[in-house]
Amino acid sequence: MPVDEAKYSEEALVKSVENNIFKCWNCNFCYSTCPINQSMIPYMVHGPSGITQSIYYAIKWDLFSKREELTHILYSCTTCNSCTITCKEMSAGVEVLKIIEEGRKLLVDKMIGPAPSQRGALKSLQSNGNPYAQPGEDRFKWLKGEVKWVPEEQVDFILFVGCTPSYDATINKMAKAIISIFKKAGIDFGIMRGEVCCGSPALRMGDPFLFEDLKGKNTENILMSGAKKVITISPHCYNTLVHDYELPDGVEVLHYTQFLEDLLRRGLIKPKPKEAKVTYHDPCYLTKHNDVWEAPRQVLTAIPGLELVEMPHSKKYSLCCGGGGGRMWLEVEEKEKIERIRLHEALETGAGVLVVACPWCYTMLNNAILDMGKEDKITIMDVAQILDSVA
Amino acid sequence: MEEKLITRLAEIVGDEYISLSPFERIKSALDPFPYDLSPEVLPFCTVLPGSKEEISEIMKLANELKVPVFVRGSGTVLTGASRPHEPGIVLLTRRLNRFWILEDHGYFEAEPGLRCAEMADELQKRGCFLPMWPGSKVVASLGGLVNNNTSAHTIDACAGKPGDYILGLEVVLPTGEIIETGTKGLRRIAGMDLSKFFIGGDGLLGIVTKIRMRLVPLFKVAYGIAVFDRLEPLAKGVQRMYLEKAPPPLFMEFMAKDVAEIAYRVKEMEPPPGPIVFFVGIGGDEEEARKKMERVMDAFRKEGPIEARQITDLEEWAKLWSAREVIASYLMDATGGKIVVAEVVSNLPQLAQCMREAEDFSQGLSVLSELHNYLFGHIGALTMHPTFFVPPEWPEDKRRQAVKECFQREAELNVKYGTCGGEWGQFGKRTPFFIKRYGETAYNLVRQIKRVFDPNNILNPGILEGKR
Repeated sequence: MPVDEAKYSEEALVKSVENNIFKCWNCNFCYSTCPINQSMIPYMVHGPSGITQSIYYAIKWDLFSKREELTHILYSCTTCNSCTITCKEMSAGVEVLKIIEEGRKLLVDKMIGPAPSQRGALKSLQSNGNPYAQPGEDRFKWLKGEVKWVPEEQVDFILFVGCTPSYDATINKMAKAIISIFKKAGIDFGIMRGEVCCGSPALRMGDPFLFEDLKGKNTENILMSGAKKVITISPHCYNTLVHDYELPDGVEVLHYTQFLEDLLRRGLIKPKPKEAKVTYHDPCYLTKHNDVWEAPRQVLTAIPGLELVEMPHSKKYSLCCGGGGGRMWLEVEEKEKIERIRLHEALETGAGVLVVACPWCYTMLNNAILDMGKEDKITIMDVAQILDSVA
Repeated sequence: MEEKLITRLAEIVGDEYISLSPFERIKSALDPFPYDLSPEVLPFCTVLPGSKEEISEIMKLANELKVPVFVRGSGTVLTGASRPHEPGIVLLTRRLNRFWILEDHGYFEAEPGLRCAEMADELQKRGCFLPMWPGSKVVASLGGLVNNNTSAHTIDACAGKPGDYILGLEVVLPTGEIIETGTKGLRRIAGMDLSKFFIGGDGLLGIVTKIRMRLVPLFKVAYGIAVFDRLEPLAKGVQRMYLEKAPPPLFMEFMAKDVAEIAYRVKEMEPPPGPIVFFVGIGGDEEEARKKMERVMDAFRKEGPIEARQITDLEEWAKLWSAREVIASYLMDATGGKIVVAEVVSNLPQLAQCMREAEDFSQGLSVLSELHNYLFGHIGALTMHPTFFVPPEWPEDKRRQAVKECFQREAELNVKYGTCGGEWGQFGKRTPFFIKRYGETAYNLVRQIKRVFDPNNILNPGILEGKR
């Protein structure tokens, strides 16, 4: 599909920022739920309308020569979307995150953004189809031919594995657990041999053209497969496929927790009892971007004996892990890291297991556990690993 | 001078707590007014001190170099008091956000950068109520609320002002000295209490660095609503509540018919047939709260409402209350415009007449009269908010004119009814009102007081002078 270049022109981006920011009246209500406003030094630019006003005044007063400052301000955001929700519920209904993302595109267009440390990820997306500088052909090295391959075989369901579960040995356990459950449930699924990154990092970091390229490759593969459902592991892939791809109506995109919940409901998986007290960390791209929070909870509560306790911030008002929006490739100076703030909440529940449903949340929170030396207090598992252990 | 200033400020607060970024300086000078910042007022820098001692040093330095200091909590005030009118140092209080709830002493202490909702949540966990309830409570700073002594959405006749609960303060004077006021007991000072210069001092006389407030036990509540065919009998019902000595409720809000329609539709409720008034009676137990609410209801029943009833369905109340709390946002969403709002306060006998004038608020004004007036407010406190939404296509000068006209008309009405704003502070855009209402002698008295505390006019200049 040809890329609509006019949509991403400097003129169009400037107009979009100006139109969207008009309603912002600097009430600053968005600061009350912004994770970076908690974790960073509480300067006004370390909060949602501080970021959006920065890009607006960069345009208005032509301040683009302040390259480093602008990059620092625009890219410190995790894109968790709490600001947009807060503004919608409590203030003027400004599309706050949209302005931030349009601002990032503008910085990329002007060859200012993203941050130097993030550029390698974009380069690798272009040459390897993943942001981790890993060879594209190694993507499914870990699979050893145990699944059906698309497009050689026609399947009902595609498992869209994603980059982190493919290349990160720790997170790979998520993919293996999902495949194990699918097999136990007798699901006819396949994996796309030509899968590349869904393009979310490119889009979030402001490179829509790179995104369109990746989207084109995956769309072609999905359409060739004849599959009716695409199941993603990462909420970021889920969000991108749902909102930024243009898949035909006959193709449904599901996050794996939604699919597992369906398997349980249909009785295809019958979990054995497991005595454990767990707490569930909502990924932003499921909850704050897509209103999905019941399915993962239903999977967990379907396990007899498992006690689910909630953290103070949960569901739509959950607290970010700090890994979104390109921050996996950015070192942000924080007084207390976002993932540590979140881990404190998890520890206070007294749960022995912190359950996640996103590869990046897994990475961020696992790092927080190790950094803080809390391995004896809490372990981390994803929804599939828990279910697989009792399926 | 600027270089020397920056170097010495950095020595005081540390390099990481001073910002020269133009973006930080811009955002630190913006406020809710619907027009952009002028480049000539851009602050020199933003600082984030971490202690009263650092603030003290900053003030001493500012006096030495004769540089203005603009103190900001969250910058939500609606009178222009947080938008500097000349370059200077912006001092953000957010790093001072600690609190201590001392139940055995019967009070809590908090720093000024703490947000209202943060403190209220902590107090609620311990069975206490924070007697401050602004619409901006999720971000409004305690320091800002104390400096304005705002009762915001609560009704003065029931809950008083924050100052009625404040036992003492710690303050950095504009010249840098640190003083303590008040008491550590539960009995407030009789006679001279210096706290009073800073509580509701519009940020002119000192920087509050610690607030000590009495713990207020939580209470039980009962909810009521009355619907009228017009605003006049609704206003008469409020008058009657006071005349018949019904116990004033903690909250009493009203919405004109068109505003209520929007609020109800957003909450997927059937819109009421006319303007509504709804209120919260409080008591030591549910029965007492209900009885008090019923006494208020009786007053409204005598004015011929279409409907007057207790709300027992908590979900219904939650929808209604949240719709009112964020009505401005629904209206902004619905109109696509930026808010311009006035605070008209009536005296008691003329409430119905004042309400009519609040309905016709923009009559005869050249710019504001082009816009629809959405009327709502805290009618239990005799307060009405004529509210307008400036469309995006209006140029800057027209937006500025809209704000000017809004404060001009607000002043005319509050002078006419012999009242004053009870929510947002006395100066900034309201200085002309102050002079008109209280006279040159009173105004000069305030200027003299300001000079005693701040001989070099370093702290928040421009607010008292009405240059904001």
